[in-house]
Amino acid sequence: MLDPWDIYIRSIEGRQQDETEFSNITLPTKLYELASEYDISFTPEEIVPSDPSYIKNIFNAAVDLLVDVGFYNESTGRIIKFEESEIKHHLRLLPGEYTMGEGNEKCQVVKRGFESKRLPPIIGGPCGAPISEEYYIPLMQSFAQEPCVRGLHTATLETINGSEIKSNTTAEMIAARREIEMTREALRRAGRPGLSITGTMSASSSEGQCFGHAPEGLRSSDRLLVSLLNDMKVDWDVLKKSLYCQYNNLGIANCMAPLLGGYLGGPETTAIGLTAECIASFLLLGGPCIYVTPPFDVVTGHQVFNEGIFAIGSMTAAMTQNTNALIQVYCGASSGMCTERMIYETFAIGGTAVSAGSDAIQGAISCDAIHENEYSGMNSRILDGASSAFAGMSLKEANEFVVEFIKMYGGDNPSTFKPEPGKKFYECYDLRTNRPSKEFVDLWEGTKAKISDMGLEVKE
Amino acid sequence: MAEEELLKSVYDSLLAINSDKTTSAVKECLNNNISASTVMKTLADAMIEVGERFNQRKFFLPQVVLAAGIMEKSNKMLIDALDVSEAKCAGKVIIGTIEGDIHDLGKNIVAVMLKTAGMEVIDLGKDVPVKKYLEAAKENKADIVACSALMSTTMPYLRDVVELRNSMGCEEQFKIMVGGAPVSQGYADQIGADAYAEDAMDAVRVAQKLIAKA
Ligand code: B12
Repeated sequence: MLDPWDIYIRSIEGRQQDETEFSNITLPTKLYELASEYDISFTPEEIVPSDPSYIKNIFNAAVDLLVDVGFYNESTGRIIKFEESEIKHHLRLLPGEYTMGEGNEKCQVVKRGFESKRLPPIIGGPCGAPISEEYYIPLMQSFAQEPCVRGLHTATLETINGSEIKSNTTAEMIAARREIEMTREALRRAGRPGLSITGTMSASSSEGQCFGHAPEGLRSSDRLLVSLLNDMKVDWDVLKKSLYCQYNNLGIANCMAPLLGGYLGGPETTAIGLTAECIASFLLLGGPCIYVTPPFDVVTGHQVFNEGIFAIGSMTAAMTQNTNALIQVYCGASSGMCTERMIYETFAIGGTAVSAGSDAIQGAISCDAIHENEYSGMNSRILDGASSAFAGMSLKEANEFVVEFIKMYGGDNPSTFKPEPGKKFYECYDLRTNRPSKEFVDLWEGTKAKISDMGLEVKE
Repeated sequence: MAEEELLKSVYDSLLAINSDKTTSAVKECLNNNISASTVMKTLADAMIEVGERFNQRKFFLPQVVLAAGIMEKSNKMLIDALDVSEAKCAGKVIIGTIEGDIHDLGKNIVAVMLKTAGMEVIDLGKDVPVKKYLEAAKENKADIVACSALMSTTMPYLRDVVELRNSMGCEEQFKIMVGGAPVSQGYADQIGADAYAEDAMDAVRVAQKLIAKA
């Protein structure tokens, strides 16, 4: 990572630019130039990239983009510039491994590479989605008790002491602390107190989020989420959070939530822009691993379309081929929990991530992480199934399956796609035993059988 | 050049997101005595097509934002040439992402689509304090206050906007429209907002209805 002081100086001394011009002219113009110069094109039949020179081109285009347009600091209206040599130097310094969690639950995330047989660790949890107070602990416990889960990502508490949580108030600070305390309690109940936690989600301000850091809250073996802004931007708030973690020895989860059809444009340019953002996160934020969501389509708000999966597949492959950076792909489905479609969506995105070299995977998330209480440990079990089926497979073969899954749920046609509505945690888990209902288990077993008829072996 | 050809050039230049060409095509129309309202109608038709292409994923957000900017600039030129009797605005909207929330992409799309439909849109940006919406609405004599919230922790501020408006006795003056992924019609009803829309296209229809009623 760059020296934080250096980032500060670049932020205050860099070239000034109007934000609208940066987002609507400078960035898209360069992206189109690069997509054409490097001959990046999208076809629905090629979602998981396998051509080494194509993958190299994505990476090179991303470095060119970073050098050319830089990153925008919204707070100062100035450009943080990067030199190509320093980008390459800082990427070379990345260790390619990272340990999170404590005691028996220490988990090492290591660089996997393409077509690796090694299963990436799964980070379970509702990943920021709203969960009501009464279900928070059992729902988190349902994730923690799945043996495949090696870390937890927290949810947003919907209320605290029965009252709504308002951002920018002390309620959000108390909620941020409570969210981690309740997650710790869930870990204890699952008998896995050392599992690593990534948070905090219940506060929207940076001071609120950092307030989750405490002996009973986030610890040094845990991670605070620090996200870049859309697109190719940061502000003081983001940089302050990163600095807080660095100076207080708290782990950082670099994060990026891209959009398709927004400032990064279509699939080809999003693939390049997203790769540039991932690279920049290692220079600006300081975490050893970046977690990236598949791009959300700006017209429908869904994240399971072939164009977005192509973009995240390209980014993962480019980072795998050319860097030691650790990538954690957020495997998000748009259909609801306990539906057959959600399983196919998880297989498409999970399969892409695992074969393109994602070093950890997150989820699986249902209903685009928007609805309340619609997540459970079964989601991670399903993701583990996808991971086991795709690990070690050739990129070409993985692509064939991914394309087939996408067709099965209609992810090749955004204008007709409708997510399948799902069930709530309390509708498909027995709350006394905290075990999935027979209906949910049967759905998973039945769908696994259908998947195995496609010629894909789920080893979970 | 015939009127039809001149208007086509306005239409095509806007769709090509070419600011200079659109400006000169508009000037050319005025020089040829084509009425300002006809040119405005052509620009509006071109913007509808821009919106359509955005929905079909042939255009992306920057193109829509730039096209809306070009249309606004052209309309400013045309308004001077317009008969007072012809000058009518489709409505004035104050828009912003609510306090504590920096998720502004959806709001940006809604803002640009409302502009596309010919409305005057004043965008207050993101993390907008409750008071600021109503101050801006008063100052600009707006018809609608549109608030976007993307998080359960910022949705409560939507209610504060409604309550503040009501306490000011401005229920009839400014209608409040809310939206954002976690917001629903049920929530809008619960907090007493006048309208909710699910997406940007829906927002245009709903805003037009609110204005027609007023
Ligand atoms: C992109 C994104 C970000 C970006 C935002 C960049 C930006 N400039 O907007 C970044 C990375 C910065 C970010 C940060 C955070 N995020 Co965020 N983010 C998202 C994400 C993935 C997509 C949102 C989006 O842009 N969608 C695309 C647009 C086009 O859709 P849309 O906004 O819904 O808008 C459409 C409609 O809703 C409607 N509409 C929108 N506004 C309006 C207004 C009116 C008046 C009308 C009529 C209609 C309307 O029309 C639009 C177009 O069709 C969502 C997940 C999701 N599924 O929504 C999470 C999400 C909203 N984020 C979430 C969280 C928790 C956060 C953070 C707290 C994370 C953290 N710990 O740092 C911070 C908070 C920052 C802050 N203070 O606001 C949660 C919220 C959960 C909750 N509490 O309810 C979500 C749901 C994800 C999750 N599960 O974790 N995020």
